[in-house]
Amino acid sequence: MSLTKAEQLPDALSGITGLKLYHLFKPATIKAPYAVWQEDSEGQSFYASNRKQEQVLILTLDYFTQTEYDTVADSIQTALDEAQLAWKLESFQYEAETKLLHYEWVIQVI
Amino acid sequence: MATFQFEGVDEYYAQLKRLYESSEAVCGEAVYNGAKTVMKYVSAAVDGIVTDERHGTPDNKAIGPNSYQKEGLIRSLGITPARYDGSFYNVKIGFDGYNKLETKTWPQGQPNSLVARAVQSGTSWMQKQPFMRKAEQEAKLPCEKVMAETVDKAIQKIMK
Repeated sequence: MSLTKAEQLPDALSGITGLKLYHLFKPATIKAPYAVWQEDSEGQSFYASNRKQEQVLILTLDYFTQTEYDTVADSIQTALDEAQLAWKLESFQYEAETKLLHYEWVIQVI
Repeated sequence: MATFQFEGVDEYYAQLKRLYESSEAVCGEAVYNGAKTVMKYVSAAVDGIVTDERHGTPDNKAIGPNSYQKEGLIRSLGITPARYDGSFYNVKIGFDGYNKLETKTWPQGQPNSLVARAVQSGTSWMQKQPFMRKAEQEAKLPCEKVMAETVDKAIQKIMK
C-alpha cells in the first residue's frame, strides 16, 4: 500500500507542453504560470476481512496564471481524464493583489 | 358463506396517515440534527487552523491566516434553519459578516467567507488548510447516524 501512488498525478500531467509543475513548493525564482500539487488526505478507502484493502489518496493541484481562459487549464483536465483519475474542479479564485487566477482541483488516486 | 375479518386495519391506516402527514417535519428535524453534528466538526476544524502573523508572498508563503482572521471565522461560523425547497431540505453551514481587519480593499473589515475560502484552498501567498474537507470527512458517518436515529425515534413515536 505505497504512498508513491500519488505520482500518478505528475505522471498524468507530464505530457502538457510548457507546464511548470512542482511538488509542495515552487522554487522562488519561478513566476506564474505554474502548478503545485500535494497530498491532502485519505479518501474513502476500501475495507474487507477486517483490514484496509485499498487506500484512496486525495491530492490537490493548484494552477496559477495571469492569462484569462488559459488553455493549459483545459489541458490539465483533459490529461486527468485520459489518465482515468477521479477529479473535480474544487474552486476558482481571482487574487486582486497579485492579479493571479487560481484554479484548484481535487484528485483521487487508487 | 365464509367471512374473513381483519382487525386493526383502521388503526394501522391511521398510523400510516399520521406518518405521511408528519414526514416533512420528521425529515426537517433529521436534516437539522445532522447539520448540528456537522457543525461540531466544522467548529473543531476552525479551532485547529494554524495562524501566521507574517504577510506571505508567493516566494515565502504564510502558513495560514493571521489571528484576527481566525477570530473572525470562529465568531462568524453559523448554521441556517432547515428550508424545504419542494424536493430537498437544505441547511447551510458557513461564515457571514466581516472581521476586524480593516484594509485598503476592505475598509469595513474583510468578508469572513472570503477568508474561509482562501484558508480552505490556499492562495499564491498562503498555504492551504482544507479544514472544511477534513470536517466533512470526519462528520459524514456521525451525521448519518444522528439523522437515522432522529427518524427512527420519530417513527416509533408516531406508530405507537
